[in-house]
Amino acid sequence: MTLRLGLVSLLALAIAAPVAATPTARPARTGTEEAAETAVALLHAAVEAPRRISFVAQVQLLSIGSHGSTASIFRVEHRAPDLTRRWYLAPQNLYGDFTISRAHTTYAIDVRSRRVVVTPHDAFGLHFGWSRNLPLLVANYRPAIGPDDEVAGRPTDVVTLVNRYTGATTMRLWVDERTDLMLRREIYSSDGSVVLQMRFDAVRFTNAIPLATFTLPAHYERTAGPNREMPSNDPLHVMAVSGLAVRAPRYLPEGFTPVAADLDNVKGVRTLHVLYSDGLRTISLFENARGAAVDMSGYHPVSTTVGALSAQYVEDGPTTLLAWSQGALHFALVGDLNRDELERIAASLAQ
Amino acid sequence: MINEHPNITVLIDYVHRELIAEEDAAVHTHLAACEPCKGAYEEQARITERLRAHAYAEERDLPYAVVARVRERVAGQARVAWWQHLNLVFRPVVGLPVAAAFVLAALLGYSSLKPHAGAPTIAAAYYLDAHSALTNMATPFAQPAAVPASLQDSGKSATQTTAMGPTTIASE
Repeated sequence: MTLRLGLVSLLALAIAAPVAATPTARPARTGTEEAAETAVALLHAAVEAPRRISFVAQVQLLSIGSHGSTASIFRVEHRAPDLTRRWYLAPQNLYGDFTISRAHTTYAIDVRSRRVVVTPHDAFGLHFGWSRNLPLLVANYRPAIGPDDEVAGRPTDVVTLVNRYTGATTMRLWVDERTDLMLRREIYSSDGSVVLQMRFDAVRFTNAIPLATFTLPAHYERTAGPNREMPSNDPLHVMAVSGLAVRAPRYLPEGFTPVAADLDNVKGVRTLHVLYSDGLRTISLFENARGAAVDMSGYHPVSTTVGALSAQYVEDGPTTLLAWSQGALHFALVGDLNRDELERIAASLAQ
Repeated sequence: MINEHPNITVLIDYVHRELIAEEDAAVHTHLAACEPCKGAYEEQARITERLRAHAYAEERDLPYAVVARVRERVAGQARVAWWQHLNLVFRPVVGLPVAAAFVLAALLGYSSLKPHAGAPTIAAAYYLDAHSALTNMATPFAQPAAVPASLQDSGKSATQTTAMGPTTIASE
C-alpha cells in the first residue's frame, strides 16, 4: 500500500484539485489529507483499470431490495479496453446464456431461443462510467482508506466513501493492489444495510483472450433492443432542444446535479430523460407531453400522492419508480433513493 | 476477423446496425484491431449523432387541423351503411364476444378501462432499464444489472421481486 502513495499522489492532486479548490490558501497537507488524496487516486485507477487490464473471472452479484433480492453468478472474459463477455452460471434459467459488450453496445444471446438482442448505448459490460464525473463524486463523498483485505486470494486496498452531507457510509470498494481492478464492492442504504454486493470469486489476469471469444454466434435471429440515443453530458442543451415544457425539480438531495440526458422516441412519444447524480447515487426524471402514462402491469403498483396529485409507485429491487401526471405532462421518477425522498423531489416539480 | 478493410458503405451499415450478425461481428472484430478503420467508424458515428440531433431540433408535429382532416377523411372512407353495421354486429361470431366484453366491462367498472383508452402507454420496465443504462454510462461506479433486460424480456427474469425460488433470495 505504502509503495503506491508516491505514484498516485500527483494523480490524486490532479483529480482532487477542481473539487478541493477553495478561496482560502490551502494549509500544509496533513496525513489525513494525503490519505484522502491517495484514496481519490485509487478511485480513479479503479475506474480506468478495465480499459487496460484483461482478465478472466467468476463474479457474484447480489442486489437486495425491500421486498426481495436478486442474484447472479457469471464468468467474465474481459479484453481491454472494451470487450466483455458474461457467461451466466446462475440463475438456472439463464445458464448458458451470455452477453457480449463492446464499448457501449450490448449483445444479449439467448441460447435456447437462438436469439441475439442488440442494445446500443447500454454500458452493460463492466463499470465504464464516465470518469469525468469522478470529481462530482469526490465533491460529495469523502474517500477514506481502510485496513487492507483479501478478495479472491489477492491483497486489496479498501476505500470507503462517506457522504459529506449525511455522514453515511455509502459505498466500499476493494481494489486489487497490483492491477487496480475493483474486485469487490458494496453499496449501503441510508440505514447502513447492504443493497448491492459485487464480488470476484476467482480472477486470472491474461492478455491471451482470443477475439473469437467475442464473436456472435452464427445463424441466430437478431433483434433490436431498446433504441436508445447516445446520451449527452450536456443536459441543459438536451432540455433546450427537447421541444417540451421542461420541468426541473426545485428540490434535490444535497450534491445532486444534472449530469446526462437523452431524448428517446418510445412508441412515437418523445420522452426526455434527465439523469441527476451526486457522483454515486442517481435519479432519472422522464417527461413526455403526449399523454403516455406508465403501464405498470407485471408489477405491483401502489397508490400514493405527489403534492395534491395522484401517483403510483412500484419497487424493483432497490429501485423505485414513481409516476404521475399533471395536465398533459406525464412524469416518471426512478432511483435508488428512499420513497419519501423521491416523493419530495416529485412534489417540488408539481409546485 | 476479416482481413480486408470494410468500405464506407459497410461502415455506415455497421453504425446503423443494418448488417447481419456475422458481418457485424466480423466488422466489430476488425475494428478492434485496425486503428484507421476504427477512426473512420468513429467519424461516421459522430456524423450520425449530429444528424440525429439536428433531426430532433428540426422535427415538428403536424398542425392539429391537418391531423383532424386526415382522420376525418379516413373515417369517411371506412363508413358503411347502417344495415351493414347491424349484420356485422349480430353475427354470433362477433356478437357473443362483444356481449361478453360488455359484461366484463360492467364487472370491472369503467374506471379501470379508462387509462388504456386512446393514449399510448409506456411500460414501467422501459423506465427502469433506461435509468439503469444511463446510470451505467454516466457515473463512474455504477453497477450493471444482474441480468440484461433483453434476457429478462424472454421470460427468464431473475429480478422478480416477490416469487421465491432457486433464483430469488428473500431479504426478509
